[in-house]
Amino acid sequence: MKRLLLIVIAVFSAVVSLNAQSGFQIDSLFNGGLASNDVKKSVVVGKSLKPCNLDSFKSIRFLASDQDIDKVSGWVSADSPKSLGKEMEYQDGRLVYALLRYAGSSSTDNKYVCYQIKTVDGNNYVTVVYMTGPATLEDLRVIFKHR
Amino acid sequence: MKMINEYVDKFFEGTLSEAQESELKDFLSTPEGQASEYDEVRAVMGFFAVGKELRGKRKEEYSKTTVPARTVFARVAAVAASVMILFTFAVRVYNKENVCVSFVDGKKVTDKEVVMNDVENTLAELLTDGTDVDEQLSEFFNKQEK
Repeated sequence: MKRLLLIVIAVFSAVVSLNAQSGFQIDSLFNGGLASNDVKKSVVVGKSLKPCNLDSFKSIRFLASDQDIDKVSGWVSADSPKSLGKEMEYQDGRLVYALLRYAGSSSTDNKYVCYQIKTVDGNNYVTVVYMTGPATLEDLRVIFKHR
Repeated sequence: MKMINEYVDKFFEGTLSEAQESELKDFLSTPEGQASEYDEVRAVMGFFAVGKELRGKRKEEYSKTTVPARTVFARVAAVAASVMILFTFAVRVYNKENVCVSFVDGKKVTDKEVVMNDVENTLAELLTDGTDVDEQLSEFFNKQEK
């Protein structure tokens, strides 16, 4: 009976930890903080990400107005001071690229927030990615350089 | 012998103690106890012995069949319920741990190849390009030419 109780508690805690939020301002974006018609969202968790040595990945790419860009870049900038490593690029005072690394739940885990503005046919598309896993930035760069 | 006869009388009166009854039984199993004067007491004691044995067997059968059956059913039901609960949680955890989905303009895409292709392209763009200044500039100049 004790063993059964322990198993049930373990399973509950696993479910609770899976539901845990990442604790970033950029979460607002993934929780529908912006309304845009041209949106592409992806969520991948688990075994599909094993080749990249990641545990979870979520991305959002959308057609952004100037106000949207200000809002999202504001969230990314607000999250940046807590990061352990960052690359941020500005053009005309506007944040156009950010790659932020945070400590994950264990010493070998990392959390990443990536932000990029791309201009296609005069339209600004913002891409934001939040991912977690043991992969280092160098690992990921090596993996995706060859693709 | 006088003592045995007293035990026999006491036996029929129902005042014989357990120790005395045991002594009487022991005596009746000896050659002296086979005498005809003890036929009656042997028969009655034998009758009680058989009765006790039968009653004991019935008790044993009862305890073997009904009580354990209830216990076994309760145990099986408890194990089945626990297995079902754990299975449900395991499925939920598995589903949460293995997600691969995209939403394009509100349309759900579950094709793993398509989703992973999108993930790879996104990461390739973010991690290897950074801001593609050349692209941005050509975009800018194209706009100017128009």
